[in-house]
Amino acid sequence: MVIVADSSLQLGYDTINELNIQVVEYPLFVNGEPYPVSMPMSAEEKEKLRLLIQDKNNTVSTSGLKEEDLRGVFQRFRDQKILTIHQSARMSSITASVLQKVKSELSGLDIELFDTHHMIAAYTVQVFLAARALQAGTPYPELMEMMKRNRMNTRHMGSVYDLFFLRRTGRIGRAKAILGTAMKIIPLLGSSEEPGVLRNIGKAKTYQQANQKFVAAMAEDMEAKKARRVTAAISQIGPYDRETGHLKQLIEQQGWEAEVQILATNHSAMPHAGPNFYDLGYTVHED
Amino acid sequence: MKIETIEVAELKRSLKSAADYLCLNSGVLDNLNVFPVPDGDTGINMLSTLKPAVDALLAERADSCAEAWALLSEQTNKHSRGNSGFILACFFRGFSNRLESADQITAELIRGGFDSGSYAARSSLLSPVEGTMVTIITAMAEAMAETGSGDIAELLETALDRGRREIFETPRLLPILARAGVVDAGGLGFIFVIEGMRRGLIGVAPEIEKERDYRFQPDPTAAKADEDPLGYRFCTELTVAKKGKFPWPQLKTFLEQRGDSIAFVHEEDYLKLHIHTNAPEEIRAKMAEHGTILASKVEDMAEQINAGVEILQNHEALSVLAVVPGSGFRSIFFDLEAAACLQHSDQLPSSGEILEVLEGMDTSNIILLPNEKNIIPAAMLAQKKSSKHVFLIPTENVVQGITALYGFIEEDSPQQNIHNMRDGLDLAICLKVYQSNRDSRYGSVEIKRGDFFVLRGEDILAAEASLVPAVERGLVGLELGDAGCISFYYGDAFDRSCMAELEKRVQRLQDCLEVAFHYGGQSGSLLIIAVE
Repeated sequence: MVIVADSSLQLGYDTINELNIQVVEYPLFVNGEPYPVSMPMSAEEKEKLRLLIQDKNNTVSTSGLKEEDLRGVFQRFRDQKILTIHQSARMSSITASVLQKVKSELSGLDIELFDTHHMIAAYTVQVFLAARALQAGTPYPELMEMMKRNRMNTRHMGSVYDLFFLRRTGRIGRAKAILGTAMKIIPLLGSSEEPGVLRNIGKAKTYQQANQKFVAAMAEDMEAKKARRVTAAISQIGPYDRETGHLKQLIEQQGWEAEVQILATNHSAMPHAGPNFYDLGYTVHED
Repeated sequence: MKIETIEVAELKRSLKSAADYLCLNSGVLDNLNVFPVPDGDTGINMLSTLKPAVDALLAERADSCAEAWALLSEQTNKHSRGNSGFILACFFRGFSNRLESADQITAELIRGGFDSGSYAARSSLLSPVEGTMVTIITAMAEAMAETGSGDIAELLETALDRGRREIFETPRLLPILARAGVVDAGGLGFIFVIEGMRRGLIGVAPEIEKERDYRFQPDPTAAKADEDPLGYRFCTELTVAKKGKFPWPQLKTFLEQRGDSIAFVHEEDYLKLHIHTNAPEEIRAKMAEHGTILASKVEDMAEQINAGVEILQNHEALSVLAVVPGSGFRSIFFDLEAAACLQHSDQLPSSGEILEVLEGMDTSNIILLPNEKNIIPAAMLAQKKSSKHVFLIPTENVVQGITALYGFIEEDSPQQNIHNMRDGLDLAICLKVYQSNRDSRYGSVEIKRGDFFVLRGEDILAAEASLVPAVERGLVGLELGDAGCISFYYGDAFDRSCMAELEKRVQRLQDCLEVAFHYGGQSGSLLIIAVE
């Protein structure tokens, strides 16, 4: 069996290879022109793209996954069961329909589609757990059961320093944007009960306050599920090493059995989340 | 430090701190209130009983502790409101009896006072119910009796330990609490009062309590109460000046047949009654046969409950009214999604002015942020008089107002918002910087005319001839710890040429500290500082 994911996955290139995850790229465009992106992009190349996005005169966008790219990957693993795991269909309806189309066209292949209902770090943590379980030899029925359980127990939160980009690409509608405030307030967004829909979960003045709010929510989830173990992914765009380091430390101080990784955001999330952003996705394990 | 005796001044300070503690946390009690009736007013009832009594005590001269406590007892009795307020007043009355003519209060007198107060509270109830306020008062009195300590602070701490343990037993004793997943609000309110007193004695500021600490998973299997929680609709209170002998046994039977939650204080010249009944007029007429009605109050608890339910269901129309001390703060609060601001100068707004703004707002559910400790009483009055559903979050300064708004999410329910906004109250420390216009003394600190001094609440942190060193010294005393940002909100009298120097000196205090200046426009203080 092989796992296929898309490039909104935030795992580092080495981890992707170690876990044998096949990644299909979202094409990226700057001012309408295709822009060269790939999972092995270096830190310098990512920073160059980030600065392009930061200039609000540039229009940077992604399109849905390409049919031919998907077909190519699926054909390559035609002899295996293909478990193709993606971010919430609500975030890219074009991709969702392309996936369905390609799957029906390749009806001879054993393809299973799985919508994680989440995105960025919360999508990543689910793919990571699935790939690791597969590598450990978990049989398919158990793997699917685990993935469904993980999806239910995953939450996504983030500090979005500028909501302009999420608004521009239509990723938030109802969340109220705090634009142009002199107070430099950090809007906090999180997953809602509706899959793939982000909601306003409050504001913070400092990253410490934001992180405390995230960890308090995490503690509530741990308590509600009577859980001891949690797997978390923190992804960042921009110079937020101090902020993400603090968040990781705060989680680790809670006394849970916590596996936390900090990831440098891959290119596909950047046009939507903006150039200044960090998010937390975590899955609580009901043991 | 061991406290063996308390003088009048310390007693006053301690009781003021108790009222402050209750003021800060009354909303928690309101939200937890399910027994005897879930009308969400335990906090406000206890506060309305204690706060005016303490204010009166602070304004009066008392030559001994016994005299001070007698005054407190008289005043709480006068102002007592609701079941919990009534029981609190009874406790103070019983406590007062034990002091006789004592100049000072000792640990022994506190032990005796608690014992006597506990008896007075319990015996005022016709049918005391376990798992409520009287259970907690009794447990705390017992804990005191079991320790021979002569240290008053330690004695109060022992009682509080027992009280905080017993409060989590209340759901076991009273199934209605277990079903709602809460502890008893009245009992918790009593703990808050004693906690406030203890802090006042040892000089520790009141703390914001978290509602979630007193909530747990509701147990739907807990035995159901036999009666509808609203078997009796009207909360009725009467104070009667007695004429002649009072036929107590007959009156007791009469009352028991017409209501429950009956509490009764029988003094030499007057009596006071609290009852939940469906026949308030009949009870009033009966009592009038035996004396002159001095005061009466009838509240429709069904209306209060329905108001709560309606608020929970109406998620659409919720907005925030902030009382702000300057035009700069108006913009800041609007940026943070307040729907309306009432701006005031040195002269604080009256309840009428707050009420006028509340009534003029579009929404029927309003969260009110007074943003100044001395505005809270007026805000409470406006809340009570308003035709809207007003939720008061007792923000004591404008910085608490700002951090409370971090938790405001318009599309969430009022209850969720109140929970989140209360959680935000302790996210920042607020300091205020003033310049003295005369030679004066603040506690033990001499302040010369023209000096700059920094206050945190009522504590003075620094006083210097120049502003920048005063601020720096004030901040150094805070142990900045995890602070990430210091915001200076300046008033009209602030000399802006100090900004660069101030920023430089403050940034030297800690690595990676963000410093920001915003125009607040306040007229009293030169600077309001938020340490977050």
